Amino acid sequence: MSAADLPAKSKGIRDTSLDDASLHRWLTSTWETKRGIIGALSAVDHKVIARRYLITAFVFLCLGGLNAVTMRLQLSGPERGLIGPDLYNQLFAVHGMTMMFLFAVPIVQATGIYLVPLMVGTRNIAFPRLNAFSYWIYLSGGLFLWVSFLLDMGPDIGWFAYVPLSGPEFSPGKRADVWAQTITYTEVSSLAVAVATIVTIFKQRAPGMSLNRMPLYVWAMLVTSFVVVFAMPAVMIASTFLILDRLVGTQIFNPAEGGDALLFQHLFWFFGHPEVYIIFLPATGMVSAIIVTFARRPAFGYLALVLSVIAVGILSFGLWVHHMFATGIAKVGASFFTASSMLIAIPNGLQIFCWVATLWGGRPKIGTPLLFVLGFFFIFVAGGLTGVMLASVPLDLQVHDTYFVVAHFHYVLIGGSVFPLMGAAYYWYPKLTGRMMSERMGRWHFWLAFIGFNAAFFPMHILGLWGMPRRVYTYPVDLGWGNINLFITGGALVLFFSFVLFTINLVWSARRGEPAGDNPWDAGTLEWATSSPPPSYNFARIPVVTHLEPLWAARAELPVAAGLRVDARELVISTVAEGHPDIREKSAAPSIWPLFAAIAVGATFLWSIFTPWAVVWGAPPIAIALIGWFWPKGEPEDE
Amino acid sequence: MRAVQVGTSWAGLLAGPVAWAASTQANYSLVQWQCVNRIPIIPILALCFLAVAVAGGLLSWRAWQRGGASFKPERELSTERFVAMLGMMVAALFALVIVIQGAASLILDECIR
Ligand code: HEM
Ligand SMILES: [Cu+2]
Repeated sequence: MSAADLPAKSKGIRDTSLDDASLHRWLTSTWETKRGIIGALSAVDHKVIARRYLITAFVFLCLGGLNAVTMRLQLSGPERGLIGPDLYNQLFAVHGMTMMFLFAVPIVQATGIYLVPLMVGTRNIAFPRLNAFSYWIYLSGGLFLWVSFLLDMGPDIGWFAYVPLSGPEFSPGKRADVWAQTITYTEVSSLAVAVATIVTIFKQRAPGMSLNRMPLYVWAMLVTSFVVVFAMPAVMIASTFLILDRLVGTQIFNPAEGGDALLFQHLFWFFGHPEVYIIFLPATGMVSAIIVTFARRPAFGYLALVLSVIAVGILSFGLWVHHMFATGIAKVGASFFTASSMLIAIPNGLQIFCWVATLWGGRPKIGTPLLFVLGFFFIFVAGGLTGVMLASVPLDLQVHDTYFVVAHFHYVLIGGSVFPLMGAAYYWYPKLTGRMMSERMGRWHFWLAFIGFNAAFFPMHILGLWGMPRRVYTYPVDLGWGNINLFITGGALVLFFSFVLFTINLVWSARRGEPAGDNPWDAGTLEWATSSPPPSYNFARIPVVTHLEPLWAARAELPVAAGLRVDARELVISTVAEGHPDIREKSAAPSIWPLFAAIAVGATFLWSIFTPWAVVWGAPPIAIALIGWFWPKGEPEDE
Repeated sequence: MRAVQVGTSWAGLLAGPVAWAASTQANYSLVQWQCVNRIPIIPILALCFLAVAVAGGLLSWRAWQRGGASFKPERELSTERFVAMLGMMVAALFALVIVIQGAASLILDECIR
């Protein structure tokens, strides 16, 4: 039964000699999240944390969607008096920030928190307490932005908050500081998740899962996490410099005092462009997973798909200046970024080619997840085309800051990320809940979303070419933009309604959906090898991987490894390239301290928009919380 | 030296992106300098970085030919070849990007804004 015995040493009860029932009892008592409020607040199970992340991010999607619908109602006709310019400014800034920082990035990372440990066949994510900490920080960042918005203190400077507009001179009050600190909260939490994800993928893969047997989704999350690690610090520096300029009186971005206003744009977009790939790359992983399962064959061009994920992740760092073509930089310099912006289409195109070839060579059966993937192809390719257009400087100078750009980035963001995410929701929902989502409602959801989306965003291209600028709260009657804007608003309402339907489906299926079983789609990767929903310990015995699609290779029974302790939280640590089992390692037990640490850190960030001394007075509580967090408590995990 | 003889599977994976990052950064910063001094530093530098990327790709290619297994016996042949192939392809792609970026400075005048 045991294909690869792990090195044996040390005391404690091992799984080697236990029968299935007592194994289950032991593992449950070791890994279970305790009941009650303290238990819930101390949870470190990746599945519990991921579920919280997913629900919170979905709530923020709805809130951001409400912002958007409000804006669209105001724009549905010329000179409509529903909303004034001040509120409109807050609406688009809070919409953009909510969608980017509170919805899109957290939800893709949360999907990874849930799926990566299952897909690589381990029992918990690496650094589970850090992971719990990241959720609390994220939650406080989201509350911070939205409470500020409800108090009429929402940022009104757009999601990228350029100086000098956001500087002390043109943005008195606290709104710009709210922008800066929301960034800090959310990026701290993303960085924490990224580090945990990287370590999980590099060191906790099941025995035998060498790099060339790693699921494509796991590759995508690996690359994404690296992109987070390299991109996020840039924007944190930008937001910290901004708050220093505003609060302490430094002149970092003030050219009159020897500072540099363009530096802000460089720092922001050095993060901002990779940001869209942070959102997009995990979606490509989801698409690969869904396509392989539905085509019922291994991916065509696995190596090419891995190559393109890596290449896109790295190249995404060399495109940022294409957001700054209108700032008067030298043309030769700009042309470097035009070149990389166009060449990134090569790996992206390669990816699309491989997906189509996989479907072509397979026997695809259409289900809701695949419908969303097909919708993604259509919308994302259209968005990519306008992207290549915008990468050429002369065209960009014409349509910069018009609705053409708004159309472009919603095509890539919603097409490239939200559609795959919806496909992923239908695909993995049975794993999370044990029940299938309604296919019928799913199809309605898809068609309404697809039609609503195109109706809302396609005409924006035209509007942009006609010259309608973005970020305006209204427009005069005689420009003749009324009808097309009304049509757009109609489309936006249909799109919004499709998400209402999705929400109903989520809730309804949780109670009434058909029971799913372990592997309803007959998929090949390891997350389907355990029950739905998975037990707290994920796998009773750690699987041994001999194939890219382990469940297709070993139809009857998966080979497993033995030798782990069952009375303490233990994991298999394997080598980076080959996935050879190396050592056994402890995984941290639940703890309330990450919550305390997050409260201390969160309060410090909040306070720091009022006085720089917050950083000093906040340090001791943070230090105390961290000491509590790392204090050895004599549990078996500390040995 | 052994790394050169038997190849290094991940060399292209590292050299391609690093050379490209350095090339983009250096050449972007040198536009102004080239405008003032009228010395075609950008294409020259691009060629140097191209050499770095290609060298990385060649090391990966060597490792691919040898299967890498001769280097470290505990390595698995399939994984080693997989990484080496990735290295070759990444190096080639980034070499292409370096060339096209360098070529831009031959076409456009560095002083236009
Ligand atoms: C229900 C679907 C959505 C609708 C109807 C919608 C509509 C809009 C509108 C009307 C604007 C402001 C245009 C302006 O006045 O300049 C906007 C801006 C924006 N949207 Fe959306 N949007 C939707 C979903 C999303 C999603 C899912 C994302 C990201 C994942 C997103 C990201 C953004 C960003 C980054 C901005 C720019 C904000 C700024 O100008 O600073 N939107 N959207
Ligand atoms: Cu960009």
